[in-house]
Amino acid sequence: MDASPLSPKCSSVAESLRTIINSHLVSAGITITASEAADLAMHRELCLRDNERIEFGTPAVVAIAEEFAPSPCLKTCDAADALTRLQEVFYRTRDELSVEVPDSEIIEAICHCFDELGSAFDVATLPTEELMTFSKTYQQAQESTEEACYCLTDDTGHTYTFDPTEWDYDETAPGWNGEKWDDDIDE
Amino acid sequence: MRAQHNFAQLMAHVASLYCMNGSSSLSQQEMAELTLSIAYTLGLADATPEEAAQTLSADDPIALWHSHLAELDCRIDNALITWKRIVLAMPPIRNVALRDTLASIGDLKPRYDTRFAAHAVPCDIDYQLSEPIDTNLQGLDYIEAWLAQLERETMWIAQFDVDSCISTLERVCPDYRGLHINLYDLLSTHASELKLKM
Repeated sequence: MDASPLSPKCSSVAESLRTIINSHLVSAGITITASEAADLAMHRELCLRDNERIEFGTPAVVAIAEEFAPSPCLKTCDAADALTRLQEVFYRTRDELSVEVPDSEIIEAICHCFDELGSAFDVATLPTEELMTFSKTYQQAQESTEEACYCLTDDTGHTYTFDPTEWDYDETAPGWNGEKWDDDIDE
Repeated sequence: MRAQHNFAQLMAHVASLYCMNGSSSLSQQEMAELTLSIAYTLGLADATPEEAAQTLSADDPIALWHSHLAELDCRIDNALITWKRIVLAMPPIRNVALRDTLASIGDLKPRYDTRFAAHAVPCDIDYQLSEPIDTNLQGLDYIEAWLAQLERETMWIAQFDVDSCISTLERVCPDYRGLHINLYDLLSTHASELKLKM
């Protein structure tokens, strides 16, 4: 990481990050140094700039550290290096997903993936779609959204559902709720 | 300094609402749109830096924003009252662009996102007015100016017998229903042929 001095704002962020992250990692017997926190703060600035994002709340790396702290893989890796890579994965993924996907689902995916693969480097190589399969909450939300797209309830309370996997673009195929097209043909 | 702090606080509040408290960051583009929306809502779009600083130095910037949102809601209601006057006064001269535009403006309330896109014009405006509206106007300002102009045109047309208007239009522009024309422009140039209402 570049050795040039941090801006006052970045220094302030670095100090806050060190305090908060260490409070989460203390249960794992791990701490990050001031230098590592400074690198994390600078790396965060770079990620935000590269992904053209503005962070207005608590830096995402804090939530990552909190979720990451109980990981059994933490003891076998360099925590600061892992946090840096996972932070980068987070901002890249955040930028690709819509605002309706909360940060918590992305962080859940990242940390569960890290537990599975054991390496932040390997997590960083996964495409977003594959990474998000590690978030149960995200998968459930996606399924309910897909179901809602193809589900309609009329005024009488009758619900019509449509399974896109059964759509065969055949004019004679059953329509909504099994009604056949030839029901409309005048005798 | 206080104005800057207040603005940052308000931006963070609105951004949190925008992402339903689920995220700590937004794209620069989304933040830019929210900034424009807040600036429009608080009346800062055309303000000088000093005026903007004075506005933003309020004790509670979030309460200030909410009070301006309430003012926007009142203006929406008044715009719809104008819209209703136009719809009731407009003679049944069936131009498609006019019909569709009025239908779109009639949906102003559900369409207009005052919290996150107050600066955007929320309706589909297809009908062309006799005098174009300043395209630099934003959000509800544009709609209000557009309706005011249409009301003037409508009230002029409404003084005449509708059958004489339609027969004049059919003669000077047979496809007046489908084309993107302005009824006032067409009729005013043939005013001498129109019969006043009894």
